[in-house]
Amino acid sequence: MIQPSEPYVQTFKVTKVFRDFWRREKVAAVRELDLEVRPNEVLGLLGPNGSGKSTTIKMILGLLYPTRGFIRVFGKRPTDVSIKARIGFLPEESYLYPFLNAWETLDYYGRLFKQPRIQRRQRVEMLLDMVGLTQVAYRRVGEYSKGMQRRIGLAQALINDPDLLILDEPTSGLDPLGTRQVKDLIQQLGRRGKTIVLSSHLLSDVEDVCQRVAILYGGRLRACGEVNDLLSQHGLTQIIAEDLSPAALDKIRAIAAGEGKSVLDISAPRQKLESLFLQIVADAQRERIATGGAVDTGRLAPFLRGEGELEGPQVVEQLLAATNGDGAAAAAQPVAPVRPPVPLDAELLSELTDAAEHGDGRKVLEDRKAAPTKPAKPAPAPAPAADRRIIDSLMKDDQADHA
Amino acid sequence: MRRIWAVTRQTFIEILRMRRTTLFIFILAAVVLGVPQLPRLFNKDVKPQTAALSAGKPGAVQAPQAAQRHHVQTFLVYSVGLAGIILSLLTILAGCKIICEEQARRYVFTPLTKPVPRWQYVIGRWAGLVLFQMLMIAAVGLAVYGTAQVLRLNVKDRAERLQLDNQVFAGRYRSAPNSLDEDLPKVAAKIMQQREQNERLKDLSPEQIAASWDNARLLAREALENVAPFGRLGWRFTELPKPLNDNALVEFHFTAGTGKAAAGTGLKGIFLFSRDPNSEDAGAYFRSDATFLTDRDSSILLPAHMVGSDGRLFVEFLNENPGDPAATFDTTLMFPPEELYIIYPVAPFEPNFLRLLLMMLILQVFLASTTLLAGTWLSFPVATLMCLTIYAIGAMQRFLVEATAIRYKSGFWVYLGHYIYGGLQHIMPNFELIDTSTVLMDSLVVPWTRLAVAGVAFVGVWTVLALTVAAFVFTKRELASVIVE
Repeated sequence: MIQPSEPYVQTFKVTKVFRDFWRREKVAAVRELDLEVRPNEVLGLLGPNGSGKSTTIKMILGLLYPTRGFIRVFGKRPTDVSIKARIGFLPEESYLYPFLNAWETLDYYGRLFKQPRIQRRQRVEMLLDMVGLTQVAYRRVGEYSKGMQRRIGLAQALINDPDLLILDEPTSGLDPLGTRQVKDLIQQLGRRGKTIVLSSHLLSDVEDVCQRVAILYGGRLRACGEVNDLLSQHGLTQIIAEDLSPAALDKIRAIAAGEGKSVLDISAPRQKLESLFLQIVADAQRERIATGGAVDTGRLAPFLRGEGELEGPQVVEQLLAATNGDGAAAAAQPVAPVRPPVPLDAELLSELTDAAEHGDGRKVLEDRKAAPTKPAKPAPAPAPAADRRIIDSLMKDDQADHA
Repeated sequence: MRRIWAVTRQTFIEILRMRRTTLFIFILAAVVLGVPQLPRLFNKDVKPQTAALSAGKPGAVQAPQAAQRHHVQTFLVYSVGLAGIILSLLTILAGCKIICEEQARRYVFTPLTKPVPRWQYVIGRWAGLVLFQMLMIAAVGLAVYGTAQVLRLNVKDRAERLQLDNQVFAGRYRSAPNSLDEDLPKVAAKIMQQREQNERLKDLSPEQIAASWDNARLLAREALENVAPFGRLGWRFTELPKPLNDNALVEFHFTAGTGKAAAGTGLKGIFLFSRDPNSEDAGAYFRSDATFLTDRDSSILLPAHMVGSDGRLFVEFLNENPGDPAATFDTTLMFPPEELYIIYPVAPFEPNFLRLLLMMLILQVFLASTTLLAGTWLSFPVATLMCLTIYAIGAMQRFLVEATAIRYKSGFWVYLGHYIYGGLQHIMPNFELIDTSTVLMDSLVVPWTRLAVAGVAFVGVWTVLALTVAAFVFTKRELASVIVE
């Protein structure tokens, strides 16, 4: 039994050598790797192509066996089937069966976890909604674009609400919107205490979401540590202020000179292209412009937020209450998340990007913090028919209540 | 179990949605329903009148003719036989594809990072393939049975319909007379006894006595196979099962030759049938004054009650002219024992047809496990080739063994083939146990015991062994391994 403080994944002097047809050693993909993945951390595996990231991940998952050294995952060997119930894996390419549609794909993987039918249905619906593929749930995965396949690949990795999520190049093939969503998802899961291993060669991805990084090159571990520790530039100071006049800038230079220091750079800060792009898409979605691809719902599946899932009788009761037009009954028996949900960031993100244009981003954040906690809302009017809408609306209200 | 079922279900969907499956289903439909009808379209001689002539009555000698029942039988033989071949090819191609391709394209990474043991994954894959083939065989069975019933209803002539029900829509039992090897020593011993009484063996050396025995055996064989003018020859059939019902017709088949007359020459003779000629309660004798052709298979129809409750039937042939017993002639007739048999219905058609379909399923189960075994460690083309070879060797087992039998002055390749195929025969199960065409050709009954033996050999031994090895290999393999050039 693994102790709470024990690392989820440990590699001890792991070496992996690939051989040729005649079993002669040709390429050492990983060499004497000592690595730990601790509980509740987001670890970034960084490195250029061929540095051994994917090989390491495949050894952790038991798809490859180390040539030398050994690996423990949750205190057991990687080939032990029991540990896989706690792992979610997104491979570097979405290796999905092209003849299945999105619904069938998620349903199949749910079955492999022996999930009961009702739970499986709920999770598939929630995940499809989360990755924005509800509209195309019955199209074969083989017909999806690469980005859509990545989304469904991500959804299948989350079907079991894993304790350890291993993501190999999760943002490859995704548009900026999808990339942002994945990063938000990783951050939210990280806040919920999930352990995530993120392999990528996109430095910005790792920088944005990881607490710790391990940098590989040539199969060897070159650096490993906290992101802040590794990235802090000691000996430099950065000042961000509202638009200053040349005279004010001269004063600053003079003050610095008085301290015996020089000002290295003065420039106007630029908005990130990612922020601009997200703003434009958000505007388009508000105008309800139709799209045949994935849709940004901005919602995390409730079971991934740690909320309890609806049991069969609860769903029936909700539906009955809704169809009877008994709004009070629907409100009196909410779906009842067992833990306070983490508020969604999409709205905040939108406000922040708006605010950045006007230079009052900090103010928005302060305003939100200062805002009094809203009293519990009265019961919402019941939705007329569809059960999904009822559940969604209840979820939203619960989130708002907790916010 | 739930995980195995999940993989089974997914495999079933995968096979169903393959393009090659659609293609095979189209070919199957065309073959099962279309091709066997072709002789019917081209052979204009088959008319009810012709059929009625060949139907005859009990006791009359049946000459082989193109009757409607033969076309129904041809339809059954070809449709089931070809369906078996097509389904086998589909099993091999689909089986190799599902297991090889998902490794080559790496689809297998995702399911195998879920909590499903690899041996369960292999079993699930196999079960999905078998499930698909079960449904295909059921569909083929229904289509063939339905079409055969339609063809049966189209036969309006009552006598032809009776023959059809007797010869085609039934499970028939076939029996040869008591073995010549059993009777021959007795007859030879009698000859030697006679010689001893006549003191012909007196003063002979051991070598000469041995030669006399050889001669006696030769004479005994002639006596048991040949019948001189105005002579008699008899055969006995024992341990016969009860006929299906009182309307069942017992067919006695024989081929007679003279050694000098050309094939097809008309001959005459008298056949006598009885339950037990030595018993007081022998029951009715059945006499057939037969006119038949030399060196051609001929048959005589007998009523069902001629098979005694003790399962015995005696047949005697009198080599004389039934129309004119005093007429003189000098023709000795030969009845090769391998051409002599009786055949009659002992089981209804439907359960027998079902057992026949089970034979097809046993083959598909065997092939599915073989493809899994090959697919776990070979590439798609190599695995397919290996499975096709195993299937071809199995299907042509008898031919290959005969073709490579060692004879005088056999060459190196014959020896090599003989030992290879001989070795394979010991490894592979006996395909004759599940050969549907030989069964359908004569509408033979498929006993449950035969099915059980086939089940044990193909499923109980080979399939279990193949799946165990496949699961072991798949569990130990590095699925993400790459071979560096």
